[in-house]
This record gives sequence, C-alpha cells and structure tokens, in this order.
Amino acid sequence: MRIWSRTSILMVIAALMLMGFGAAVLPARAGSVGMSYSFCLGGGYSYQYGSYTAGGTYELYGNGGCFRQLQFSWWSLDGSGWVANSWTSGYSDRYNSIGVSTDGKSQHKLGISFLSSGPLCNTQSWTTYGSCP
Amino acid sequence: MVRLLHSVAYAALAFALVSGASAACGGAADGPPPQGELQEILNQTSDFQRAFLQDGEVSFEEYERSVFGTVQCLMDHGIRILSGPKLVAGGTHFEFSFGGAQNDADHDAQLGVYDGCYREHQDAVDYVWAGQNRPDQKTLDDARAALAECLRAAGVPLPDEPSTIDFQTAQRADPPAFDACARPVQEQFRLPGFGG
Repeated sequence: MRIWSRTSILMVIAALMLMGFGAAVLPARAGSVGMSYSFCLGGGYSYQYGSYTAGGTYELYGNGGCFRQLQFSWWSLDGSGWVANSWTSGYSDRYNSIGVSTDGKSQHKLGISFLSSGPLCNTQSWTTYGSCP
Repeated sequence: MVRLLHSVAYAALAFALVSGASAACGGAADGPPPQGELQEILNQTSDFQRAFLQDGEVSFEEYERSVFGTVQCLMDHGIRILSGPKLVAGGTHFEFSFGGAQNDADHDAQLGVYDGCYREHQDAVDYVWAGQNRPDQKTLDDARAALAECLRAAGVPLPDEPSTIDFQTAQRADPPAFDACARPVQEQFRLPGFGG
C-alpha cells in the first residue's frame, strides 16, 4: 500500500510534467492534458492546424492495460451546426481528426481508465480556442 | 529550483515507466474480465447492459444492440443522427455522428444527453467488447510499422522506430497525409482510432 501511495504521488508529478511538456511542443491553437486513473497514466491533446482539427489520447504508464476513449465534436459551417462523433474506445492510443473551416471550433473529450467504473472519469474537454484545464 | 523540479519530475516519470511492468500485471487481460471485475461491472451497470453481460462476454449482436440502443435513445430525445452507425476498423467498431445544434448551449445539452444514453446502453458493453478485441503487442508493432512506412512513402519525415510523440509530430506536420495513412491501417489491423 505504501508503494502504491508513493507511486500515485509520482504519477501525479509526472502528469503535471506531461501537461507542461504538451504545452511546450504543441502549436498555439492547441491543448494538452495529463490524465491518471488507478495505475494508468496517460495524456491527451488537441490541436487545430489550418483546416484540420485533431485530438488524441495515449498511455504513458500501464503496459497497454488502460482503457482509452476519445469523443469529439466540431462546428460545421455548412449549416449543420455542431456535429458530434460517438465515443471511440479501446486499448491502443486513440486518435481522430476532421477537416473543418479555419474559422471553426472543436471540442475533444478524452478518457483513460482501468476498471469499468471509470470509463468517463478523468475525462477532460476543451475547445481549441480555449485554455487547457 | 526550476531545474530541481524538472529533475524530480523526470525521475518520477522514469520511475513510473520502469515500474509499469509490475503494476500492469493487474491490468485488463484479453478476453472477458476477471470474475471480481465482472461482478463490479454488473453491480454498477444498467439493467439494459446487465442482460448482455451476465455471461461475462459480449457477442457482436449484443454489441450491435447496445450501440443501436444509444442511437435510439438520442433519437427519442429529438437529436438527429447525421451519419451511421457504420462499421469501421475491420468490423470491430460502430461509429456515428449526431447533432445539429446551432449554438454552444444546445451543443452542451446534446452532449449531456449523449452521456446519459451512453451510460444507460453502452459504456460497460464497450468496455468488455474492447477487452475482447484488445490487440496484442505484435499487432500494435505491426500497425505502427505499417503507418510509419505509409507516412514515409508520403514524404512525411519519421525517425527509425518512431515514438508516440513522433507520430503526433507527423500528425501536425501533414494532417491530410496522416489521415490518408491512418484510416487503412485502422481497417487492416482492426484498431479503431489508431494513430500510432
């Protein structure tokens, strides 16, 4: 138990580091976040480059045993308004992208978890126009 | 002080990665969830999903009914389905889109409805289904190699044995080329959403 407690603390520190790292390497209209659940440590990101927006989530710690989810939506300027995709889930890194108007906006929701009690725990969302949590 | 914090953080990350192998021994395995975890799932999930999960496994038909249950729930709440559900990733994953909200507040409300429908009809089934279709390491390695080969052929620079960060850099460098390579890899290796 003591080892787990120490590991949890270190994972939080690593997650904070990850958030800083993501902010440093991604372009201006982008966000990144560190996520943890049980022994799982992962990261998520979104960005908009020109007419493309993309988001993803990946595992840094967990040896492939962490369930990862990604769901995103975007503002379509063809008159349909907000369009939302269904959740994509599994045990490999999640990634999705869509071509949008350069004036568009998008929102990405990410999750990483171990037990089914947490598929939507630690989910973060942000818009590519907004600040990261 | 800043350098010290960075050193501590890097050490923490290294510790976490190195000790991951032992910790992950308790992680999800291929196939149905262990009995203890299954019981936790059954205790927490809805009646709708519990009926599918009693035997600890999800058949394709049960997965399909689960997804269409979510879709019907959205429609019952007056939300338009804009595409799908269609099977992707080698027939292992249904995807669809919905929406049509003309402002952010309505969009947030629709996402709230979706979360409710998903929890009622699909989240636990998705979790077990994904476990049954969890790729082994060789599949992941082969998929990464195929993605890297396609990207290099498209002129996107990648180092030998690219890391997750390298694939993300490639995404940002040329999103259309990355998508053109990622989609067929997802289909071939049955990995929904795979991006390296």
